[in-house]
Amino acid sequence: MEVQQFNYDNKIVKYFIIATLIWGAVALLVGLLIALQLAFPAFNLGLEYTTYGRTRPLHTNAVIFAFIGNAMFAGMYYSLQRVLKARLFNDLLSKVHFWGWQIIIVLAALTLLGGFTTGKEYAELEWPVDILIALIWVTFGANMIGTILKRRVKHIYASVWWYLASFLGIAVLHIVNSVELPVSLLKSYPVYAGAQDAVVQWWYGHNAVAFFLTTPWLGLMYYYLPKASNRPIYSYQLSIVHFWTLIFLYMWSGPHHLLYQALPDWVQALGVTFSIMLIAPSWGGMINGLLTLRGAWDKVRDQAELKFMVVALTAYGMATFEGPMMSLKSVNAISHFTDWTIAHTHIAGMGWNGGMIFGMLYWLVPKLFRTPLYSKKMANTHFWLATLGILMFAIPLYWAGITQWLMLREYNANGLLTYPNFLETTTQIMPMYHFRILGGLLFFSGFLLFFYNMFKTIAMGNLVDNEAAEAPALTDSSARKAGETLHRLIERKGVVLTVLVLIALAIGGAVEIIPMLKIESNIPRIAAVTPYTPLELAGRDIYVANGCYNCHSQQIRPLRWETDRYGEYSKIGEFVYDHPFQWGSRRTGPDLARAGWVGSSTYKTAIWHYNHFTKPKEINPQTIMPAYPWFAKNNVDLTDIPKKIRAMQTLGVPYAPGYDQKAVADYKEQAQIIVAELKASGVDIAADKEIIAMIAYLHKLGRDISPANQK
Amino acid sequence: MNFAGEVLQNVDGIKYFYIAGILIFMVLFVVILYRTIKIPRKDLEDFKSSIFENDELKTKKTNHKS
Repeated sequence: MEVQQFNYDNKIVKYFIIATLIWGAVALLVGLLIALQLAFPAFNLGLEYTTYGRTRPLHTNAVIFAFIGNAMFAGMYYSLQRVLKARLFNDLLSKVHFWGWQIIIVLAALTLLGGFTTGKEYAELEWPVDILIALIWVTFGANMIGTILKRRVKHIYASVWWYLASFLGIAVLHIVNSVELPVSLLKSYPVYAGAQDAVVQWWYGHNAVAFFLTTPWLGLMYYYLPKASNRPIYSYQLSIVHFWTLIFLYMWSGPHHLLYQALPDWVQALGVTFSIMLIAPSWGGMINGLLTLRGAWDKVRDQAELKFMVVALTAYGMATFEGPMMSLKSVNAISHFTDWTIAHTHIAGMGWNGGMIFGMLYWLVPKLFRTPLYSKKMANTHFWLATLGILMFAIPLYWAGITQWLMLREYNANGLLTYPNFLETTTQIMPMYHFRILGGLLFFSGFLLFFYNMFKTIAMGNLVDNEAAEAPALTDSSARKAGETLHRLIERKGVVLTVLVLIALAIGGAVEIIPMLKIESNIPRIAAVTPYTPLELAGRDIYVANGCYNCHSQQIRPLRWETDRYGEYSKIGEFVYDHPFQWGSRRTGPDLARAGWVGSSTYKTAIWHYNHFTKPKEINPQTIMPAYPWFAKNNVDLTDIPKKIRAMQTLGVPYAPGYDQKAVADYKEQAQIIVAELKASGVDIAADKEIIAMIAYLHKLGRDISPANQK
Repeated sequence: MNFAGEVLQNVDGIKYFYIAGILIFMVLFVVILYRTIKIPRKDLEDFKSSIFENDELKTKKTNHKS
């Protein structure tokens, strides 16, 4: 049998490792900043670019795509070549992938801080960046699939199935969720609206967790844990069963983000059912990983990389039990919109993803650079700082979530809410926010030790850019052999495997989304609900641009303590013209769905909004909302208004034909009413200021179905 | 523009699609489980060890389940 000589590309692995270290520092630093902003609003720095509404999406995108993303590619490219015994398919594709990904990250940082956002979580990037992401993702996929096709091994090891599923899953999710109609270079509207947008967005959002934060990392675990512990994986059979189960079930679980919300019951039921079922394959992965270490736990004591992987798997098990529990409606009624959700995401993000990144790199970097780790003591110190940091981050937030819910739902002897003012709950949980900062500081301190340790190890070592290897050529073995099972056959056939994975992924999304898009009866209309006026639309775009949805929801659930606090619960038909939906996922501030319903607790006059936007602490000294004085200074670009109206018409919003021609005139006419109101209260301001549009938008929320509007 | 198109206006019984989905899943799960259990032990040991170089894994025999 011919033995072929070839080289592994180590240089691309090094590039991705260095990018991981740099972006990791940035992502965690921004995380510290936003933790400080929530406790001490002065950290918003008085600039529109650094307000929490813009920095929080920067943190989530930096952690997911910059830190975890680069680490994922480093780990994949190293392991892929070695399990397939083939150099990466094409060096140019590797370079395009690397540099393209870094350009995406830089563009993300600039656009998010600049206020150019779609307003959809983890999919905030505007359409030109979305296109770039698609191109670079295809580049990555071509490189990976090309390597699979030119492999020198017959069977495709488990890790590669997970990598393939990740590539296909993210491709499908990104393309479907990013279908948007551009209005200008950096502004677009999603083609979906209201509840449809919500279903598509959270199908994407949860499966971004699945196929970016879970499946590739399970694949990496299946390679790096055995390599680091020198023990083969516990059960290959379990890896097969939990792979197919997980990729099929995950795609159905998105609606668990929308429980008790304005969505048909059958969609919510689907999300709950499949989320509970997801415990089994998730724990299959955890069990397979932890039992791999049977007989090798003494190594865990001595090797920091194994310590991190054990914590990672434990955190994974915790999060994948907790998540399904939070998908039960009774638990979700408590946890949704509170800090419990934030605690949950950080157990998973810091524990599972962080733990796997640190564990993987503590093993990989010395191996790659052919040198011992610079300091084992530093690595062990990092481990304890990280673990304590995670605990000090998450436990206070669990406490905060439960505290806030208990306060929000408490009634006094007269049957009235004990804490009618939302701000009372925010004030009560401030000490927990201070602890969160400490937890973050601990975690970040550990990361700094890791950062230093990695760079010192790299400096000490000697990378061989092109590592020599040899392996027998792959003989033609396409025919099914006698006694060969179907799965063994599939494992040998990359294209067949790819197609089957794609089918498994696609079913869940299709069953949930297609009926929502197609079936009119799923979205009962409300005749009183009218499209946004040009002024209200401009205000809505400012709301989206400043990330108000990061703190405020627009979704009142049919729970007594919510309807008593905010008013009539939200109906699906209210949101039919909302491109994008803005239901929110966290209440750091009160819900705004009835901010336009005169007489509701959240209705405020124009002058109140003016003062609250420009000087919030004068209205509520304990508020943590940042000030937005620039709303009173910045002008709305009125030349954009006709374009926006035409875009909305294209998306099916029923403005009259030719309305774009008179939209600016209507804008000015409506603005003058608000200007007059403010003038009567002693504020003189021009009609084209952003604050006028914002007030108009807030006064629209819930107004259409209010009694005042019916008269 | 009607983005969604006019392909499907009404589908009777749409709510039962999810029951069909669960049934598909159950059937496939049982089939995959059965066929996986039938894989020969030796082949599984080979797959598990395939990521190790010749001298990396000191003992090929483990107490692990296949």
